Amino acid sequence: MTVTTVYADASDANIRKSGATYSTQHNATTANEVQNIATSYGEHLLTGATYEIYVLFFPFDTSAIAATDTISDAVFSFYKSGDAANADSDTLGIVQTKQATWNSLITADYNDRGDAVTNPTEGCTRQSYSAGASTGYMDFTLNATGRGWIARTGETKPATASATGKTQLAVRFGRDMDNSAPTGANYMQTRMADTAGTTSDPKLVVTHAAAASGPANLKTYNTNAKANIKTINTNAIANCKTLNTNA
Amino acid sequence: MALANQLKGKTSEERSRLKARWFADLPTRTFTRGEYSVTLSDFAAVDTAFSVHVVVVKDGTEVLRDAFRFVNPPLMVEDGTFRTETIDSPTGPKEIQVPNYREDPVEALKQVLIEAIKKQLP
Repeated sequence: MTVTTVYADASDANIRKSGATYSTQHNATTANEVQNIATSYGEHLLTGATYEIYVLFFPFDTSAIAATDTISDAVFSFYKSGDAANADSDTLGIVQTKQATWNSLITADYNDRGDAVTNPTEGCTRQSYSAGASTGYMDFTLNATGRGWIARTGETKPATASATGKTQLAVRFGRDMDNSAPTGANYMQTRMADTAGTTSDPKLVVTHAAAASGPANLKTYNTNAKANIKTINTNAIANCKTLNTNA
Repeated sequence: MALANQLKGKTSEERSRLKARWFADLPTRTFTRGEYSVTLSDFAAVDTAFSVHVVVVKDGTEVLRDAFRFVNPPLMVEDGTFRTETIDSPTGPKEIQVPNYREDPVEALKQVLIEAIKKQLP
């Protein structure tokens, strides 16, 4: 088993849309601005008469994970840096993004915050969060769908991705995904990746293992096809080099 | 920031490959952090990833033996001091305390390893 920790590319960014009518801001295909800065905010809020939807995009180079490896666990984490509000008791979730270039975000990528803007496919159970000044990593354990978004060596995910081996995720507020307008301030300050990297950068931790092999010439064992054999005499098949002296 | 300066103008993949080589060349082989004694071996740079084999001992008992890899790992760690910056926040311009960093790949390696190790332990 191998644990691969991938830190977000320095192109991670906050894509911002704001204006007076929620449906217009939510359903727009282009944002107002892309911010590539070290300390950023995810937002889904109403302030005065203005709605603000700020989505955090996180690209990762996951090409170091072999395409033949099985991913058993994956956790995405970003660092809360001490300023959060949650007037609507909202939650945070993870979606797969489909930006035109994996590591160069533009305002039109606002429309790529999931396979659908409303009710997108989600890659984890939504996480609640508390308002206030707490700091530290916030973890999102990816479900089977989310793990399936991790692009291993040579894989293109989603199919429209600009490069192979690149995993594209975003953090969205639950009400944004539900197309439900905020009634107050919901936001979270986060630390983003920067050029040189710090030990509070966003990261994706993937647990994976090479496919079991066993003796090269083994076809079946007790009528079971080799591919279906997990152990032989209580030994994991990956650790079995010979069987009855045969390789 | 000698290493960080070498990353400027490089593509994402080039930065990851450079970092993988730098980390593979680090001299660190053992360190203790809190209750954990960590022994490192089999350093290698594999394309964009830096890999290392880790054995962790706690209270004299081996608690973890595993392979860890890092892609695009951090080079910088907090130096304990802070500066004030004004950022654009949902409530208007906001002054925040931002940590200052120093370039220290050896310490950065220890910190990311400990983070990764703790996640693997029950």
